[in-house]
Amino acid sequence: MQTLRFAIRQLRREWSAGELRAMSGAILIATAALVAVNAFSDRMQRALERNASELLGADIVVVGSGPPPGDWLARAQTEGIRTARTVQFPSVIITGEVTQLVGVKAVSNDYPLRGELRIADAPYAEDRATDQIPAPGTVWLDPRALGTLGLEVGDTVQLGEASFLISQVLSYEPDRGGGFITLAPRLMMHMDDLKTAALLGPGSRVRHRLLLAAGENELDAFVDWLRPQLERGQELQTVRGAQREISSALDDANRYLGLAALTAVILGGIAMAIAAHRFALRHRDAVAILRCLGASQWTATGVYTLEVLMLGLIAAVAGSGLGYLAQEVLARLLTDMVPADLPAPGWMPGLVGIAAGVVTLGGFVLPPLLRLRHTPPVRVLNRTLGAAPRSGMLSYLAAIAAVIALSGWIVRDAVLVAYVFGGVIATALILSLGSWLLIRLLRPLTKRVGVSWRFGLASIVRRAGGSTIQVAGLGLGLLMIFLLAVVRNDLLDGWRRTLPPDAPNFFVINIQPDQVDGVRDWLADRGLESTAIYPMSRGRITHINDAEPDTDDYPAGWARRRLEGETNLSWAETLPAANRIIEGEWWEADTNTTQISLARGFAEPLRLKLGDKLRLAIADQVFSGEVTSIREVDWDSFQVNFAILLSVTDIEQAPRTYVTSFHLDRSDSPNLAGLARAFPGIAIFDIDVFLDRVRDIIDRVSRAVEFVFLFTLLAGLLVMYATLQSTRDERSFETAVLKTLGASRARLRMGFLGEFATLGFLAGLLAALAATGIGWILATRVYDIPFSFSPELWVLGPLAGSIGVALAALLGGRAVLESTPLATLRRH
Amino acid sequence: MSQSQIVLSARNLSREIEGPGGTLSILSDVNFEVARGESVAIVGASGSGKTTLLGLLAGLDLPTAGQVFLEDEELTRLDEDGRARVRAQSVGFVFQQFHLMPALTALENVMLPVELAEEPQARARAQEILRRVGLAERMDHYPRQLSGGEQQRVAIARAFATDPSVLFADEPTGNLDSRTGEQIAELLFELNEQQGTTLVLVTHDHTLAQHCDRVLALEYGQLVSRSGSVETYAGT
Ligand SMILES: Nc1ncnc2c1ncn2[C@@H]1O[C@H](COP(=O)(O)OP(=O)(O)O)[C@@H](O)[C@H]1O
Ligand SMILES: [Mg+2]
Repeated sequence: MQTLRFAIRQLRREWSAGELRAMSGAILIATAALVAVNAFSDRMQRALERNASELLGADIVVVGSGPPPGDWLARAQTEGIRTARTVQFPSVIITGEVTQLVGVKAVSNDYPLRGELRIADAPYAEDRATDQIPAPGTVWLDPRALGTLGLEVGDTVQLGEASFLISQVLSYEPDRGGGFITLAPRLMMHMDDLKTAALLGPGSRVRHRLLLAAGENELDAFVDWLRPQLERGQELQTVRGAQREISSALDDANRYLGLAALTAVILGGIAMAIAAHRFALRHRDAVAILRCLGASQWTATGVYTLEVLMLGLIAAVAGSGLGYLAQEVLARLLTDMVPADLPAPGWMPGLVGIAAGVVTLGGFVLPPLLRLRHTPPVRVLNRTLGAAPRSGMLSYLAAIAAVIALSGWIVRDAVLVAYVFGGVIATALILSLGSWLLIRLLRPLTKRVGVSWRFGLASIVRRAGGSTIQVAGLGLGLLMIFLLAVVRNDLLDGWRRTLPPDAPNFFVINIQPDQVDGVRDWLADRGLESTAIYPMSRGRITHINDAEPDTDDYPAGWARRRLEGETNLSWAETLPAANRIIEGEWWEADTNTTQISLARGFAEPLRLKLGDKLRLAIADQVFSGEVTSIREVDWDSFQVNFAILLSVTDIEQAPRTYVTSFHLDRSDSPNLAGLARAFPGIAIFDIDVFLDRVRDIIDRVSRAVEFVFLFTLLAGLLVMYATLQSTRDERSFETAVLKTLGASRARLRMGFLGEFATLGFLAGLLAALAATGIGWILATRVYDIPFSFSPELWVLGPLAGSIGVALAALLGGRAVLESTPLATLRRH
Repeated sequence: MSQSQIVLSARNLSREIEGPGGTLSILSDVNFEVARGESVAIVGASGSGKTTLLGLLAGLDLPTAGQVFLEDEELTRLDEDGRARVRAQSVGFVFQQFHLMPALTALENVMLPVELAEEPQARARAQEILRRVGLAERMDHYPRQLSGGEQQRVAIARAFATDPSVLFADEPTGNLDSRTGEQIAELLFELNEQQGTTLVLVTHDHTLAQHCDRVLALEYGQLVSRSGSVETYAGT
């Protein structure tokens, strides 16, 4: 009790000394970052679980490219199973001169079987649940589409061959799926209108869904009956599967946020370790005296340990609170991408965060404090005895291991944690090496500058060790921010730049065979040079050399999915542009055998070679042929490309649609509404709109990640602050001596500025360098796009670094500048 | 002594400290003057206020009452920067603990006040004076590479580098063994003589005090008369 009271009193007294501030700041920030990310993903997770049964709008769904057989529906009815149907496909709506790509979903009467639709009378107005579906002749439209088209409820739009009244704004559908991001806005219509609008021809890209809901037993029996009848290309979806799919999209997002939070924790740990080291150093004399007076090792150091632990707990609790605020900011930044009605955050992430904060504190702060115990009492007689408590790297290994284990538990992704820690440690080492080298380079410079600057630079050089940690810590914080800037802008722009200016920017799909000539003429009449009109279909490889492939022989992931699912394919007489034969030979245009040409990137993972005989199922037709060539395809060319090409021998039997692409100058005020009107059922993709949507999504996500990286930067500044604190005594002494020698405050300020502007400059420079390096690796190794060098980073980085750090240091150094020299010198 | 020859004077100088047990008077009502070229020793028991007095005289601290005049400037009316300017132009200071800048070499330490006073040829002057204190070979060494005596030599060179009119020394030999202390004292007086500097020296060492023209004694913060060969000076 005595000790506790003493510890509290001590805490108040030592707050101004700085180390305690640095330590608690570091815990605050580390905890806040962890809690923010963790609470946010917890909310997403719980939203997912709460809505689990709604994810499919049913208990079980059968998906296929054709309508479900009538006897399935009949059987379900007799078993007392409720059913509903949906049909989904892309299409365009036309209003006046404007077209808009939409994701159409035609639904039957009882849809949805689980969950409910929500509608509103105006975009983003208050919505309400409904058990209705759009009446025939009307459609419900996503608020986004209404916004871009400038339409209101009550207007009409053309879709296919019919006109529809927009009767409601559709604000929520339970089975939207596809993560939380959809590229084309939703249009919902009544199933009966599909025929009226004549939207679907054979071979159109359509997903038919049969929704089923009932008690568990009835369903199990039905599924047992249904499963053997499923054909390839028909898939049974369960709630669990849908959940897994969405979680994996969520995991990707959380991974980036987790990365930022972990970096903040590591930097926070470094700041804590530095502060704790100095804290221990400063208390050696007191401990020696206490021990001299007969205090036990524990009594002599217990007060300080208790003091720091208390403070750590307070800071962790505060940081946890801050984290809850921050996760709300995250949710706001990601509006539109997260479910609108996220459940309130739970208390678990907060508790875990506090525990994490305390463990980090224990790991990085306790080792130097515990070593304080070993201060020999004889130090009272000779201060050189029991000199600096060794900062033994070994004791920190335990701390690092603890933090890694903890992070792994929180982020639930061992690979990511290993990757981040490895990456951060490697980057930190490189940054340290870089700053050490740069600091060495400063040495000769000190002889060439004015007295104020000389003094600032000399300080950096003399405290090379501390300066290195400062520059590296700060650089790491800046790097995180720069990296996002580089990744976001350079990579996206780099990709855009790879497109030739006249690359096709419009794709037209779902052209029916009887529309081909018409579309070609329509485009030619308007001087639009279409690349070509390609037939297109989807097919599955059912047999390889007359044997059904065993999917278990293939690695999980892409290859297995290709065998289980369908792939886009086409027919051609001549080798398309942007394709190059690397093995075998292209077929004669008039060949009368069915030949197959595969893209290398498709053939290799599936271990397909020249001479292999493939059997392909395209809808209900079967095609067999031999692989006679392998192509290298330039996928970036933005031409229409296909992994599987067939000779045109028996194309007429194949259900198919056609696709084409063309370049349209935007200044030509495109009148594509005419095209859509003339050929109902086709869908027009505007690549720029698509890219803008992608960019918008990337922007929002990176803003959220940036927000979390803000904590990383703060932690980097704390490393700076902690190292600054650790040289504070020395610094105030030097200032006093300089004043004695007649230096004015303006002079001293200059020296101070010189020193910190230089540190900030070095940190900014290194961060720019590292960001460029990592950006280069990402561009060339990961994304395979030409690397674009951003010169502004090299100017802004060092500039931001030096100004920011100098200002921060000036604020922190004010007290030193204003005190009278004698008072300071007396303390030394 | 004519007025123009008075280079330093203290008038009714007092310094009080607010402590936990109320106000503590460290110096009270100190009056004296120092003529140009004179050397004055301040002696007194530990804690009698010597360092405090020296700090006030050099403008390193401010009195609670009274005035300090140095080279016709009223130090006590100047602000921190004004006092720094006077120090740069007219004052040298030698400390018991040397107080060299650890980041700078011996040469750079000595150049520092010359540069701060914006006087020309800092390097040449610093080299010259280091040679005179016998450290020609050690100019590029850092303080931590020098012995106590050598560090104090650098400190003395630094104090004399700007040719100050008044040199303050606070127990300059207090941290050195007696042999080295003697050498340092000798150096101090020698330079003082050569440059015609006014010297105000705080010391415990009676032999050192005897070297001075005049000895002032402090007791509990007040100047007291002292019996002995040295005349005591109090008030005007
Ligand atoms: N900042 C301060 N706070 C409290 N007491 C002080 C302070 N500075 C000096 N003193 C007290 O003033 C007295 C004179 O100190 P000082 O001038 O250092 O004496 P001397 O140099 O003669 O040993 C001492 O009793 C000392 O404790
Ligand atoms: Mg003293």
